[in-house]
Amino acid sequence: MNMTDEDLAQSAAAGDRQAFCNLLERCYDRIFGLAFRLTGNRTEAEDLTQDICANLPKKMQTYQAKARFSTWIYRVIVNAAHDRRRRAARQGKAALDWGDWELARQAENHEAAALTDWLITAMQSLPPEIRDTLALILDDVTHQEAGQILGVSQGTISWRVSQAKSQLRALKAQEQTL
Amino acid sequence: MSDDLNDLKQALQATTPTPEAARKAEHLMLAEKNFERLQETTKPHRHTFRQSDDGHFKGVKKMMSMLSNRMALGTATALACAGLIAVFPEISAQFGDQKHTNPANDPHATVQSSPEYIYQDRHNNSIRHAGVRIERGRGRQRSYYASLTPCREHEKSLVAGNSGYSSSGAQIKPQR
Repeated sequence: MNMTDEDLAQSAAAGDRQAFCNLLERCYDRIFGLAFRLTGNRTEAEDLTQDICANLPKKMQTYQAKARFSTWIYRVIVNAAHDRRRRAARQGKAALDWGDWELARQAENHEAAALTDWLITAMQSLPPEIRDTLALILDDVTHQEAGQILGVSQGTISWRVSQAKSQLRALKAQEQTL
Repeated sequence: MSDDLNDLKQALQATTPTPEAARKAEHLMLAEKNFERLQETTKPHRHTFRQSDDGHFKGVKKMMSMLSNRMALGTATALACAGLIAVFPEISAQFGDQKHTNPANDPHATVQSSPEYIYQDRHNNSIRHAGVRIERGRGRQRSYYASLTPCREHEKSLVAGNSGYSSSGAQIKPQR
């Protein structure tokens, strides 16, 4: 029988180890993907995913089937990313973020390199809160869910998305003039 | 989604890497290990009482049943003893320190007659009942009352205005 994420999450919260393992295996790629979109750095994304996996058993105990599991796990990821940024800022380290050399190095051909350059420039032009919002919205999360995940109103999400759009439009216009 | 965001989405999808299999296995193992450890260390929740709707005494009975027998017995005994001592101060005199209640056994005790406890009829030349106050010697601060029925010789000595008797250092001072 194919159990839903919510069923598995509830079983895991009740102490079912197998359910926990199945659930984590199922959603691992999603966790890593969002971690990468939030950080823009593979190494940071891997470290962030490791943090999340290490703390997930404890957090799992607090899971309540009030919201969808995807909403809940996105909130866990976003909070972990914020914690990591805060920790880095407190320790006086520059948090590795969008625009680091590693991503650019990954581009294998000229076309891919151009796309990566544009992406890095676009993401760098956005403030962190708008970047976090976009990372969710571009993962097909609704505005309402994004508001729940980030702890802001739906109106704030819509405003951030519109800000992102106008900045990206301005960036494109700037590129065309060059 | 607008074109602006579509471009960004495509760029993100194109650049998002797939997780390394080795790291993924490592992370899954770490999570599983932590899950097991947490399950082992998690203690069962402490039982809490539900507010009883069956009246006040049901709750009291429940509370008493939770107390261990030894504790309940000890508490009840202590309360009973305290009550008895409060009601009958003579008990503490008799049971508290018996060797000092007999002046003959305590060479340092000073026994004085207490005015309010003497029922002496001087005209009839007899004492029916006497209360004596015993003050302990050797710096002990406590004093207490004991009811004594004096013997015939004692009665005579008291009525005659004698300074009392002292068989082994103790003195009885009669009330004037």
